[in-house]
Order: sequence, then structure tokens, then C-alpha cells
Amino acid sequence: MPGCSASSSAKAYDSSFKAVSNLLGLELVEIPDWNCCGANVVYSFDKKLATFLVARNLALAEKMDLDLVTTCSGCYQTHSRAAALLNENAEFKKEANNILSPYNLRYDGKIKVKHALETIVKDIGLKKVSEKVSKSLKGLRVIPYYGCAVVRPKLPNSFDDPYNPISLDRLIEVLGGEAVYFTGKTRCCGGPLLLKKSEVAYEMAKQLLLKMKETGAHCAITPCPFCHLTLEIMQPLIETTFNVEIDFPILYFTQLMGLAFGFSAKEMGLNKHMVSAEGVLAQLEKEVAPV
Amino acid sequence: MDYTPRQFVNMIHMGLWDEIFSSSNLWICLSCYACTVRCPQGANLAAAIEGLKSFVFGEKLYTRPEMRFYEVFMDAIRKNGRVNEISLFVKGVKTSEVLKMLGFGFKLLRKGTIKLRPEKMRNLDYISSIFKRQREGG
Repeated sequence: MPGCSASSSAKAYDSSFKAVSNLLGLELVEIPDWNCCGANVVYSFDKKLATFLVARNLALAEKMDLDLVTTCSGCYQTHSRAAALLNENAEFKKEANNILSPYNLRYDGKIKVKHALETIVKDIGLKKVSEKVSKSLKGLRVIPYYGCAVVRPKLPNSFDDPYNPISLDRLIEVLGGEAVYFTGKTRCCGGPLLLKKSEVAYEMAKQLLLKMKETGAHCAITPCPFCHLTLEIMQPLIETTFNVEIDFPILYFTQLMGLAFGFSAKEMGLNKHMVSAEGVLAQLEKEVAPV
Repeated sequence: MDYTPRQFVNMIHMGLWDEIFSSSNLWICLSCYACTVRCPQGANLAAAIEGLKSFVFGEKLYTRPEMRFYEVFMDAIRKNGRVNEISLFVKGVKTSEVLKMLGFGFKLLRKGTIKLRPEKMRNLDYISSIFKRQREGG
């Protein structure tokens, strides 16, 4: 289940996830004709509507008898919430199935909702990931930035701590890099306000980016396409708005994995980034060059 | 934000509905659940705010500029079943804002960072049926 952003702003996330999954032996099958999860926008409008919207994707996945994996933290959150609501409430599930049945669909709660990060760290496992590393990230200092939706709210299928998660930290270490301690690792990027109160969103993103830069890390990685949009794609605009130089690369965690697995920067879609990742690549070259 | 999370929870306890609904809190909340996770009393403020927002929408209590984003987002789902960043932006903010961003937008398109046209799903029938049900109060 790629989600809406995967065909546009997060294309590089989608393709890099597919590339690393393929190498790790994970087979991904796209849900045919999936629909938008509604983000938390529809939940704020009408909880029932939001759940029925997501129920279709859950039922489609169940028909395929496969767990639902998504790269998007927003999709992960909405699908996890809907699954929990339906699983907890038999009445509600019955109502959903009444709506689904004319479309030959049904949801019984047999499948699990998973985030791409969870699939890689927990299902495939860090041991297998470490075996595929062909270009260690030694010397690279990386901030594990989670954002909010991948860890919060706490739900039955949550895979990491909502306040102090560690899965990205461990992943960076396994790839040979150094996970930089960052107190704002689960702070919201400000993205939800981009179209509602952009001045607040810009301010939040600016503060977060400057704090990241202060740590002296080479880059930050994120498991969320929306955080990437706010912190990476919008970064040049934030710089001109506040007249500050930030120039801090934000990568999808799958892009960093790809680099460690020996894929080129272009194969990982880094050429599509607004902020140049040259610093990251130069650091990697430094380490492999013979002394 | 007009009130701190703690004040806001207290206001809910006290039933200060006029102040609650007219505050900016409802519309500036990021739904990031940081308050919910941190609250030593286990108050799920993020969920409460979500519920209060649905109440405003459901009862058509009032309209505020921040609510436009919700309409645009849901229109996109109704129409295409999927959303696209550019269309949300173009329809969601003032035209003057869009014009200011044109140069930046072209840069993104040239680089291939974003896509202009929204994708459309096939089975829009299901989407219409659940929206219809919601309108009819189901």
C-alpha cells in the first residue's frame, strides 16, 4: 500500500523501499486500486467515515491474505486506528462489513497493519540487514528522526516506544553509522499546519532543522513522507522566509539503507532532493578510500 | 494556541464550551499526540480535540479559515479517491500565496520532485457511498 505521496513527493521513498526490500528478499504486492486513507483530516471530520474509508483497503489486503505494509506514517496511523476500532467493536465491524459486502469485500481482522520500518527492523530483522551492508556508513553521523505518526498514538499494533523509540537508532548502527542523540526525535515537524497556518508550520520546521544542524550530524533520516515534505522539500522556502542558511539533508531511512547496500545516490533518488546530500556522500567516500 | 493543554483539559472539565469552541486550540492542534503520551493523568487531549472538531463540523457550528483545508482535502477524496500535494495547495490557500510560490513550484516540477496531476482510483462508487451515508447521518 504505497499511499498518495508515493506517486508524487515521496517517489524516491517508494522506489528506495522497493529496492532494499527486493535485496532483502521481501516481496511487495501493491493493493489493487487502493484509496486515500484520509489522513487524520477525515478522522477530525467524522470518525465513522474515516474508518469506513480505510476499511476498504484493509478488506482488499485481507482478500489477498497479506499483511498491509505502508511506507507512509500517515497511512500507517489511520489504518492502525481503523483496524483497532473495528477489532474492538463487533457492532462496528458488522456495520463496516455491510457496507463492504456489495463490493465483494469483507474485513475480519486477520491481517496486520505494519509500517515499512517495522517490517525491516522486526520482520526481516537487523541481522539480515547487516549481512547486506556492502558499504559501511562508518564515520557518518545520522539523526534518527521519527516524527509523530509512526509511534503515536499508542495502539495495539505499535512496534516502538511512543516517546523514546529506538528502531531507527538501531538501524543506523547496524548500517555502520553513528546514531546521533537528538531530543526532538519524536517532535512533530509542523507539517499538519502547512496549509492551515503556514507561518506556524515554518517556524516549527525551522526550529527543528536548526536544532538538528546544531548537533553536527551529517544528515537526518525519517520514516515519514510528510516530515520529508516539510523538512526537506520546503527547506529552501523556510530559508528564504527567515533569511537563514540551513542546508541540512533529510533522507528517507530507505535511501540511507540503499547507500549502505551499495546503490548509487541516483538510484536512491537523491538527485530529486532540494537539499544536496553531497556532504553525506563525500563522508562515505572518505571512509572507503584507502588511507 | 490560546490555552495550554492543561488549561484546555480543565476547561473541558468545567464545561466552558463557548471559550473552548472559539479558541484557536482546536484548529492549531497538530494531532501529534505528544500531549496524550506525556500526560501523567492519562488524559487523551488529542482525541478530545478531534472529537470537538467533528462536533463543529457535524453541527455546522461556524466556519473558520482553517476549516477550508478540511473541505479541500475531502473534496479531493470524493473526486479522485486519492490526494495530490499540488492540488491541495492550489485549492487550499489564497491565490496570492499560490502566485508567490509559482517559481518554487516550477523548480519542484522540473526536478521531478512532485507531480502536477492527481491520480484517480477506479472504484469511486464505494467512496461516494460512504460519503452519502455520512451525509444522511448513518
